Amino acid sequence: MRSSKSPASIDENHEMTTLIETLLQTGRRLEQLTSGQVDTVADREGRTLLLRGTQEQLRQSEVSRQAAILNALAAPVALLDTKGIILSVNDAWRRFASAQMIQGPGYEVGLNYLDFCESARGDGSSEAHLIAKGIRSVLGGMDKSFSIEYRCPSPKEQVWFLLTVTPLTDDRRNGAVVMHVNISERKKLEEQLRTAHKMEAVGQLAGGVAHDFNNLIGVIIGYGELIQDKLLEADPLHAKVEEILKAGRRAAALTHQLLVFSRQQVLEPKTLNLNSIVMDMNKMLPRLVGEHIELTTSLARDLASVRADQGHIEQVIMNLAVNARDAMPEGGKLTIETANVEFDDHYALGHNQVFPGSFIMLAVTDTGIGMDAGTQSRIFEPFFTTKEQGKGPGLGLATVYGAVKQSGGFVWVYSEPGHGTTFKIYLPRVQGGTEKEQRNIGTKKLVRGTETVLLVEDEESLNKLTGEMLQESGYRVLKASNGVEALEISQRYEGTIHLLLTDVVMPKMGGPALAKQLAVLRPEMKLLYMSGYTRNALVTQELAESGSGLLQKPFTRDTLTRKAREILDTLR
Amino acid sequence: MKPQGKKNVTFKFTLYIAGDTVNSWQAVSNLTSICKIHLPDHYEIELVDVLRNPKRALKDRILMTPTLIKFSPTPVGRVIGTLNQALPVLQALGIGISNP
Repeated sequence: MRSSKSPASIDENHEMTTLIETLLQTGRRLEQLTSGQVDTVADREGRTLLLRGTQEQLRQSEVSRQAAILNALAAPVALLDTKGIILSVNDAWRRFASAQMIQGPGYEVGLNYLDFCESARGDGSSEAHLIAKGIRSVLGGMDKSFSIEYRCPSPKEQVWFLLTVTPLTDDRRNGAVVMHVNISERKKLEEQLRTAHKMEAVGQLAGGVAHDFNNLIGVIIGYGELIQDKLLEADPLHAKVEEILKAGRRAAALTHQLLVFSRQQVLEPKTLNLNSIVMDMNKMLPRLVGEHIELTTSLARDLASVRADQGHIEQVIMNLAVNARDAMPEGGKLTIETANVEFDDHYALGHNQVFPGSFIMLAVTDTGIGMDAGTQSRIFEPFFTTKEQGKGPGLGLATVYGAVKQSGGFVWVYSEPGHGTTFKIYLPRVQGGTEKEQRNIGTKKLVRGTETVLLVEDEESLNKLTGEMLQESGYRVLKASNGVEALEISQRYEGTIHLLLTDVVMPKMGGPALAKQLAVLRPEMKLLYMSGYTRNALVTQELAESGSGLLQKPFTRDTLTRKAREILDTLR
Repeated sequence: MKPQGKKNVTFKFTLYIAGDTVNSWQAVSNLTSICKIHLPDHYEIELVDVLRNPKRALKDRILMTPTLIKFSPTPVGRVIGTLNQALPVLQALGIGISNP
């Protein structure tokens, strides 16, 4: 055959026409012979000839295979040519466009996506312009890929997308693949995790501060009481000291709340039924929230038990009720509900801090002013408050958070401005019957004693104060500032030591190690720990559960002497 | 129906097809069902796409697709088309069958 430059002669044209005619006849005859069941024929050199229709079938099958792959993707995908014109889109892209209510040019096949992004105005336009720039850089070969996380300016809810642009190269044409992946769920989890980390950090800080304050407040209250005891009631200084003591007790209550928040408070966990606690509190709550608020309870009949500190749970309910009251200044409805709930693996996976299992839910719902997302993200921080100054230090929900976390549970809040708020508290379900809470309502009369107490406390002023409190009550006191020193004193002292009163965490040798050694040397000696906070909360938890006495700092002289008496009077 | 002859004999087929065309996939589907019904557990099928592997087609002297070749047991048998009727296919390949 001649090259394309020289046209074929008339003879050659005639020959070609004959050949084509023969070819067509051959093809038709082959189809007849094989009843149309053959796709290809090959020559003896192995060259394959596609029969009529086969080429189209192959093209169609390739197209539908690509479409099937693209449509299987949950993410919206579009293929662009070098100018930004959309060549094809998948089903998710079509749904995406209609769900976002994006209409008009830019989202349909054949229209220019770059123009659509570049002409964006208003909300989200800066991201759209960045996207256009990224696509241009990929199309122009300046970048191998481009990605950006952006928030979709959707009126309904916050939707986050990850947009990726990758080059499209094939033999005939170049372009780019644009994909939007919905990452809202991931963003939500990241936010939850960030909040959890923040709360953890704030908790540690608050706990550390509260520990130091605890000791200081203990000294203030202790010496205040000692002075007051020396003064006659008629003395003008008596009332002034009383004011010092009142302020000290308020400060102690605040540090107590901080310790609860930071989960460094020693718990007295018992098996409880939340229904009985709610019913008990029902008598007191109407007075707390006021007559303008209607209080209703909806309690699950077969509610299972939880293991928690009763005082904590009461405080949680009270704090939530007070918040609900403050959210409904014009009145409204406060509902307290309980229920048995189950979280499966699937639910837990989608919620940070949630683990699968059986839980008891306690929900407190108000019909008040509600909260926006910004407020909700900060409500559990200590000292964060939306109330006007003087209406509380902002520890209520921080305390709720800490108490619930320390009991192995978690807390959720659902709220919208103008539509009220629901707090849902989930505590792990336990087996077994409930234990009755015993409350000691002691008399104010000072309890005295004459026994010998070995007092071990590293905080110097607290050591001095506790010693004085005990001496004032008639006890003989031997003082040590750490475990090693206490052992030496014990070796030198020939008489009986009736009680070891020791701090838990101390330099050189801590309380538990000391107690263990002295138990061998002086088996008759009783043991009482003092602790407010510990860097190793587990240690104190074990002590509390082991049955040894535990005195929470800060303590008053009355609590100290009463507890010391109680321990001394128990039979081994 | 069961194949006549030795019990442990395995029928080795090679089916030559051309991409995703209708005739090719009909042949694959028909051959598979013929084997499942008439030669259960006694067959092996190899698929060769002549568009991807033209050298193999040349070596095996394939002039059209779909083409089925039975390489073993000998003698070698060859059938062209979609294999839409079981009996002529089995006869053409020299596979005798008996009623169960």
